[in-house]
This record gives sequence, C-alpha cells and structure tokens, in this order.
Amino acid sequence: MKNSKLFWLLGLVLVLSIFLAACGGGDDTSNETETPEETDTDAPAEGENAEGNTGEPDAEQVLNLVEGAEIPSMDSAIAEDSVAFNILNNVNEGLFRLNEENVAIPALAEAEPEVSEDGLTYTFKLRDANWSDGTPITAQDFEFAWKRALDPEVGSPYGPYMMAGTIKGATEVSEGADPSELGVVAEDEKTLVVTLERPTPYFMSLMAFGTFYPQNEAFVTEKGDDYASNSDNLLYNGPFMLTNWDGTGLTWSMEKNPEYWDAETVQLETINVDVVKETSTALNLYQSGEKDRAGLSGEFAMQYADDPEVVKELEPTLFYLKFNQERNGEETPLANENIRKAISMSFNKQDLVDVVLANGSLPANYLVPTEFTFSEDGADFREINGDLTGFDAEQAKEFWATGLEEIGQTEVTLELLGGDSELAGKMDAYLKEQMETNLEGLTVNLKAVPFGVRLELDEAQDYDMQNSGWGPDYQDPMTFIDLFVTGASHNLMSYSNEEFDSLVEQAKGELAQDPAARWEAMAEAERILIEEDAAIAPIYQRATMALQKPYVQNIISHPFGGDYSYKWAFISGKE
Amino acid sequence: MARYIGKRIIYMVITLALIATFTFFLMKILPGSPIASADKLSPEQRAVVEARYGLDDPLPVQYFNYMFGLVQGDLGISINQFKGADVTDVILSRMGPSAQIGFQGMLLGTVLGILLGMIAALRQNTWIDYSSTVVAIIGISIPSFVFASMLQYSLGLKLGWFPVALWKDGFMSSVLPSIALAMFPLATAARFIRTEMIEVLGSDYITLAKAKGASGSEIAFKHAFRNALIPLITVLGPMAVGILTGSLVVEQIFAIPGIGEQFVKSIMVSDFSIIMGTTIFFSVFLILVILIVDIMYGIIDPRIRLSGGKS
Repeated sequence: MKNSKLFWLLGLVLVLSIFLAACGGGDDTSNETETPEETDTDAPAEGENAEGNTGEPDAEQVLNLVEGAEIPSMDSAIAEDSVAFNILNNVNEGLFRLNEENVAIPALAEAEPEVSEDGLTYTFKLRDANWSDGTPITAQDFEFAWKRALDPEVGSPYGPYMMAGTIKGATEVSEGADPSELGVVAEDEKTLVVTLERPTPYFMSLMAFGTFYPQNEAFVTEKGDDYASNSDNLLYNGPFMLTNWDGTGLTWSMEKNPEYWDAETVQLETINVDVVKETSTALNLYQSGEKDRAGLSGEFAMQYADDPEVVKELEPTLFYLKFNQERNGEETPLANENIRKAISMSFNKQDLVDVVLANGSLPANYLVPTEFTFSEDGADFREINGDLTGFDAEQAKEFWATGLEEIGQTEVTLELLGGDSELAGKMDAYLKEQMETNLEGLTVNLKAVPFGVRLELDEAQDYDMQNSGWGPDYQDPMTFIDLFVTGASHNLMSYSNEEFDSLVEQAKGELAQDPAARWEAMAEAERILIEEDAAIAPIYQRATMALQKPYVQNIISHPFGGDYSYKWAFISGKE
Repeated sequence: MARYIGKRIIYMVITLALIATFTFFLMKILPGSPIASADKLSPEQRAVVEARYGLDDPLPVQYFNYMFGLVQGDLGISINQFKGADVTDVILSRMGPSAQIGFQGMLLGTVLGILLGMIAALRQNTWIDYSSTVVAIIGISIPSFVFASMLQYSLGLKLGWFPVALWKDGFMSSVLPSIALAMFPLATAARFIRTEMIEVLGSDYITLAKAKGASGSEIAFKHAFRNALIPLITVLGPMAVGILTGSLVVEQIFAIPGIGEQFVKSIMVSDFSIIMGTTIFFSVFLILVILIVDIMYGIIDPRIRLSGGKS
C-alpha cells in the first residue's frame, strides 16, 4: 500500500513536470496554415554569412538541413514549387548559373553566347561535361528537355509559363503544334541555337532556371513513367547528386557529384535533409544539435529576434494592397484617384514591419524590390525611383476629403481581403485600425480566407482591397511591372493607364536592346503606377529569419529560381 | 456467424461507396485549384494541365471514372503532392510508421487505462481515485498535439531520453509519438473501467462471492474485471478514431513519414486523388475496427446475440 501510494505520487509528479517543463520554455505549437506563397519561409534558409570564423574547412563536411515540404517532383520539366527548384539548383545545372553575387554566369555554356544583331538568336557553345552516369551532356539534351516541358501530354505548368512569348513558337507548341516549330535547335553535339520571339534582356538569367535544364533523352525514355520517381531514376549534372529519396518520403540526402565539371569548388560531401513542417519541431531539432539551420516563421521570428545565431535574409517578394476599381460591373469608391491616394498614405509601414511582422522585413514605398536587379555597373534598380508614396497621415486626410467630395459621400465602407494565417490576420487588423483612425468616415471590413479562395475572389474581381504578394519569375523589374498592364492576368482590378501600358510596351519592344533607356522606361512606369495613379499601395518587402549554427559558412541565397546554392558552402569550426 | 459476417461485409461495401461519393463531391466544392502555380498560368495553359489529370471532364464523368477505377483497386495518380505517383504506392509507403505508433499508442493507452481505472474503482473515493480522475480528465481534454509538443520539449530536447523528432532511430523514435497518442485511449479506458467496475462491484453476485469467502484479488479479476471489459470494447471504435485523428497532428509534430501527416498536406494543396485515396483507406480501417469489435462482443459475452447467428 505504501509503495503504491509512492508510485502514484511519482506518476503525478512526472505528469506535472512535463507540463511545467514545457510551459517554462515558452514552447508554442502553432498550427500554421500558411499560404503556398509563404511556405518557403520554412525552407532551409539562406546565408548572410555568419561573421567571423572564416577559418579552414573542417575534415568532416556534412550539412544537416530541414525543409518545409516534400518534393512534389524532381522532373525539371514538371517542377513548379520552391522545394523542387531549390534541389534542382543544387543537383543539376543549366546553361547558366547564379553565382555568389547573384549574377548569371556561364555554367554548362562554355562562355557567353553569341547574340545576333537583332537580339533574337542566341548561339550557345557547351563545355565538356558529363551526367552522373558518365554520358556527355549534349545540346540535344537541352532541345529534348525544353520540348518536353511544352508537350501538352506532359502537362507542365512552368514550361509554357516560362517559355511562351519568349522562345519562338513556344505558345503554339504548348497548345499542340509540331514541336519542330520551336525555336530551339541542337546544331551539333555542342551547339545550341535558340531563337526568341522578341529581344529578352534577361534571357541569361532565365537559363539558370530549373525549367531550362537539360534532360538525357535516352535515360528519360528508358525509365518511362518511372523517370524521376526516386533518386535512382534521375541523372544529375550539378554540384551534388540526390540520394536516399524514395519519391514520397520525408528524407533525402545530397552527395557531392564527382562527375561535376567544377567539382573542385564543391566542399560539402553530404547534405542531409529532413522534412519538418512544424516550426517548433525544427527549432527543437536545431537546439538539440541535429540540424544546422531552422527557419523562423511567424511569431517565432519575434521570439528569437535577439539570438546571436539569427541570420536575416531579404527576399525579393513584395506585398501590396490591390485597389479594385470595378466590382460586379460597378465602380467602387476606389475608382477615385484621391481615395486611393488617401488610403495608400494612411498606414504606418515602419511600425507594421517593426511591431507586427518583426522579422526584418522592410517597409516598401515601391513595387520593384530592393537588392533584386542590378544594372551592368552594379547599380540597384531602386536607385532610379527611390521611395515613392509613403506614410503621411496629414496628406492622406487632405486627399481623403477631396476624394469624398468628388464621389459625393461622407462615409465609405470597404472590404479588405486577406489571408487566413495568424500573421496575415494581425497585419490586416493593423491596417484596418490605421486606415480607420487616419481617414474619418472610412469603415474597413476584414475578410480572411484561405489562399485558394483568395485566388478565386481575385479572379472574379470580387473584392475592394486585397492584401496581395508577388515573387519574381525572372531577374528583371519587368516581372513586377507588367503585372499591371491593361488586361493582364494579374491586374484584375480594372486599372488601365495608356501611358503606363505604352512604357511597358516600349521596354519590351524597341528599348529591349538599350538597357539604360529600358530601365528608365520601367522606372517611369513604376512611378506612374504608384505615385501618380496609386493603383496599388505597396506595404512591405519580405525578409525571413533563420537560426544558423556559426560553423555553417557560405550558403548563398538567390532572388529567384532555386532559393539556395550549397555549391560554395562549407563547415568550419564545428569541432 | 459466417452469414453474419458476410452480411456485414456487404454493408461495408455500401458504406464505402457512400463515403467515396460524399467525399468526392465535397472535395469538388472545396475552393482552390490542385495546380500549385494556378495563379500564374493563363487560362489556356491551365486547361492543358487540367487535361493532363482529367480535371477538364464534366463532374459526373470524373465521378464515374473515379468510381470505376476504385472498383478495380485503382486510386489514381497524385496531382501535385507527389506529381504522377500512384496513390496506392503513396499510401502503402506511408503505412508502416502510422501503423506502428497507432498500435503502440492504442496498446499502451488501453493497458494503462484499464489498470488506472481498476485501481481507482477498487480504491474508490480515496486520493488514488481522485488523481486517476485528474489524469483521465487531462488525457481527454488536452489535445494530443499539445501533449506531443510537451513531450518533445521535455523528454526529447531537455532530458534527451528520446529523439526530439524524425523517424531514424527505430523503436526509440516511436516512443514519444506513441505516448502522445496513448493519452486519449488511456483516459477513455480509465473512465469506463472505473464506472463499470464500481457498478459490477456493487452487484449481488459480487456480494455472494464475498460471502463465499473469495479473496479480494479473485473477485476483482475473475468476477468484476471480465464483466467490466464489455463496455470497454464498445469504445474501441471511438478510440481508434481518436488515434487516427490524433495521428494527423502527432505525425506532423514528430515529422514522422506517416499517412496522417501526408493527409493534412494533401488537403492543404487540394490534391484530389490523394485526399480521396486516404479518406477511403481511413474509412476501410475504421469500418474493419467496428466489425472486429462486434465480433469480439460475441466472443467475450455469448449472451449478446448476433442477428442470425446461433453461436
């Protein structure tokens, strides 16, 4: 009897201690429902290199990472998500690759291609390089892969998306035309000739994107439906080879690829990756020393903000309010320019990023992100326009009064459509509070919906204001600017300005070969969009934070395509 | 008995067909596209991708195609979670870990729960009884994901007794998730056994047994326990449901490559074929559990007659 009492007491103490221990650590289990756009924040983030400790590499070169989601497909023709593009960037390679300064440099291409006078024909010479099974990489491998990515039978989303309108004949081929009409020809084993629809100044950076990687026809045909179904049914030509991936599992590795043409640069021997979807779990694994990096999403960013092992990374992803000018066939109050201007000046972005987001994001008074595109002499595109419309409560009130007078109303009720994650909710509540405080007579109704629903409402143009975001698809300001030309598939807010449209048209057409004038045109278009028309109201440029062990060196983060390169990474001082 | 089982299996098939139908149409009402980059594609480009996965057919056609495949055991291919992978393969490859932690959790929970319930009943209204009630209430009311996180933080990270997460150290990796899953069956079993035992202990035949001089333990195990077990079998079904739903979050928290974890993801990315396949798989499992429970009834208590059975 005495013993049994003791036993139960012990049990009770144990149970209680579990609670106390857990509470003491401030452990939190948030079941985050992030929008697809946000999921990559969990990825094994990046690298502003930890300072100091740039000593010699250790003998053991093993990096342990977590990833936020499974690999949906390793077939470069089919891939459409950040996890796959990130791995593809490390186990494969295209004609070009983004280097440590995020400049596209020749990779499988031997040198810069020969470009014709009119800027439409690119002739690439390939370097001598092999697939991981020893077969040489040929120009035919590129031709095959690109045509495959456009084949309707394959059903690739990114093939047509990346190639249509850029490579000659891509639109037609993606809709079922004869593939030989595509402007991609392997003249011989080492010569690839690409014909474009229109001059494309950023074409080299596209060549670093996963969809444009080569595939070995013999291998793909031999594997048939099994191609890319696991790590054995793939060929690699990049710094690493994917191993131990069973196709549906939560774990895989990357091993150094001895056949890689630049293998001597690669220092890491093995990268072990495990999919961990809960941020709190990833942090526990980081703290137990099993993982070398862990992303800090949502409220975890604030919690760890002062940790010495935090690394911050600015992403070229911009969030902004879309102002819908026409809903269900009727003009909304947002069709009035002064109303739009008033709202776009009515909220304090600095406080938003400092207090609500607290993850290093920047307040944005612009559309084209900072640290994203650079001219030939290294100047940031942002330097042309600098800051456009920012927070100014006094001016906002003036515009508001004028606007209300013009539309003949004293009170306006607007809906603000946003995401359903906890963070999105907090942010939208903050925006509502700011707008309603600074603009008398304005009522903002929040509508929080899942990502899929938001897309549907966006498409139906069934909203007033929408908290929306965009990440780049290629390294050029145009990937942001042309979202808003009249009738563009992302416009969906009845914004139309002839001058804006013509500037975009010029930048895509006659100015394509004059980089400086082209940038001026795009900058002017951006200024019209934001300052003159207030068609959208920029909010912030996203940054992410991660914890990274101080012995991890030189993981390079990229603004588009694969998020990270491990080619130059190494471990130093772990012991 | 054989006839009874045969009849039950026919009902099972009907139930499954209904579940499949409901899930199919409910899922089609779900907003969002299974194409991850749908927001970027033009309508023509989207149509091409939809055609690839047969999503362009009219809904009834899609439905009959699906049901026809289902009858032949074909669950289709994944649309975006594991592009092009066979859904059956996906589920099979994820089954092992789920089955292991589910079974261990169930076993641990029921055995501990029974013990706890029995002791509480035998020591009714003492502090032992009260603390067992507290444990039961904690087990019922704290969601398994909270419990899982606490276990991970305390026993995993702080004390280092078990792996923090991941599925790499064999049995050791399964301990914490199994405990997290065990809480619900433990609490349920403890409450039921306690109530039943108290009722049985108060009945006439126990008094008779006592009068005849049977020892305390003999009464507890031989007479009271077996009768108290019957109601517990009734709750095996709900307990299995609890384990199953618990596994959705517990697997995610411990980053275990199980079905539950993968099911959650498939819903978030609207991968229709995976959602369908997993729902059907879960349904088959639960229906089987219920059938087994009903058969066990007859074995444990012959007084409970199966309709048409003369066992």
